[in-house]
Amino acid sequence: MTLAFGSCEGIICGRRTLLGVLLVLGLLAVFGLAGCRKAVSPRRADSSRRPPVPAATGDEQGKAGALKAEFHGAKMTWDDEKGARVWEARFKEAAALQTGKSAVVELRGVEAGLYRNGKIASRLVAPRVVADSRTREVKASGGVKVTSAIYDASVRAERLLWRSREDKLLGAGGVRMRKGNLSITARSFEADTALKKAKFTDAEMSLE
Amino acid sequence: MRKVAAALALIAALGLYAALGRADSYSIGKTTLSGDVIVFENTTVTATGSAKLVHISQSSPIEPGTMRLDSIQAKSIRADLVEGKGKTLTLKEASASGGVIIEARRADSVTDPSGQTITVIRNVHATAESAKLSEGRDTVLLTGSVVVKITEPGRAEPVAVIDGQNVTYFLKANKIEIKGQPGKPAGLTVTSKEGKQK
Repeated sequence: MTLAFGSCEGIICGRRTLLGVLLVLGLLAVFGLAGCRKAVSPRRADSSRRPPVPAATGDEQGKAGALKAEFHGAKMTWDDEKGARVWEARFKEAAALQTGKSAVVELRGVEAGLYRNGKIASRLVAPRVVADSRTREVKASGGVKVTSAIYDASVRAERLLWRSREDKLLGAGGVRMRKGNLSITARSFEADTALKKAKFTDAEMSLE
Repeated sequence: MRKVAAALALIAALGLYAALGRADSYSIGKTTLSGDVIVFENTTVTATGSAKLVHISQSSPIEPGTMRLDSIQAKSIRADLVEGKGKTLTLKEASASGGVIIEARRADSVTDPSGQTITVIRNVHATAESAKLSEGRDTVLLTGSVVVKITEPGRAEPVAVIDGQNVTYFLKANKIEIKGQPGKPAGLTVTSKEGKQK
């Protein structure tokens, strides 16, 4: 199992953050895991019950590639094996989930940067995000907006899946892309992370 | 009190300016392109599967002596856009291929039996294998087994039927140019109110 969770750093930034931290601590307590890194050193923890390192390890590391995931207060980052940034997110609330061997974190009130080759390709805003550090996939829902950091384009969708390894964004439900005076409405879409090229289904483009 | 009145007057003036300013910035129409699948890359948009390009004009009725393109339907339509002032994208060119159907209207000036000149709006329905719309030149080039039917309100039979390998619409000039091929001459059938002429 890979579980990605790091430090609280002892800084509480507002009530929402406090609630988020308490929620995470509560969940961790339920799972029998350690809380803040400062309070309990992961190395001292029972390794059979408390996987301390956020990155994938052992066999999983070999399959999925080394990935270091850290939480710093209300910020979470993923870097690949070469140290290049993959994902960086700020959030209001977080909860750690366990699904099989995956290290899954559920975030709420998310503003994130999606990176490609270590450079930011687009920015994501979503009310709810489920991020899996093992597969490096991000599922966003509740009305998602992605804005390209390279091209003058943005897209909205009800839900979205980002497959960072494939440099692919998949969105569905009330899709609307905008590029200046051009807009495209569609049922679903598939695009590269930077929104350079996009494919829409049941779509209509309009120029005004 | 005076300050409040001045502030209100300023807000009203700004509102009026904004309203008038917007009226100027209206575009002359709206272009839509739909399809089962649309692929967007840079300034090229390609629609496939029941593709349809529609131009909705916001201007008044068609000017006499001109043609207006209403829609193009085809299996596939590719729209090339160009970025203008203020990054505004406009349609530079559109190419349609496979089962092309084009709907247009022309405003013809005719003399009625009483000797008065009136404007008759005629529908121009065309089918072709492919078509190319050049927005800048205001022309539509239809190629491959082209059949154009011009109909008039109140008349069951088409006013004219054109067939050829290449047909060009000149929208601003309200002109249709037909070209045949060796062994496949172009045809024009005009139906007068009295009978058919070829």
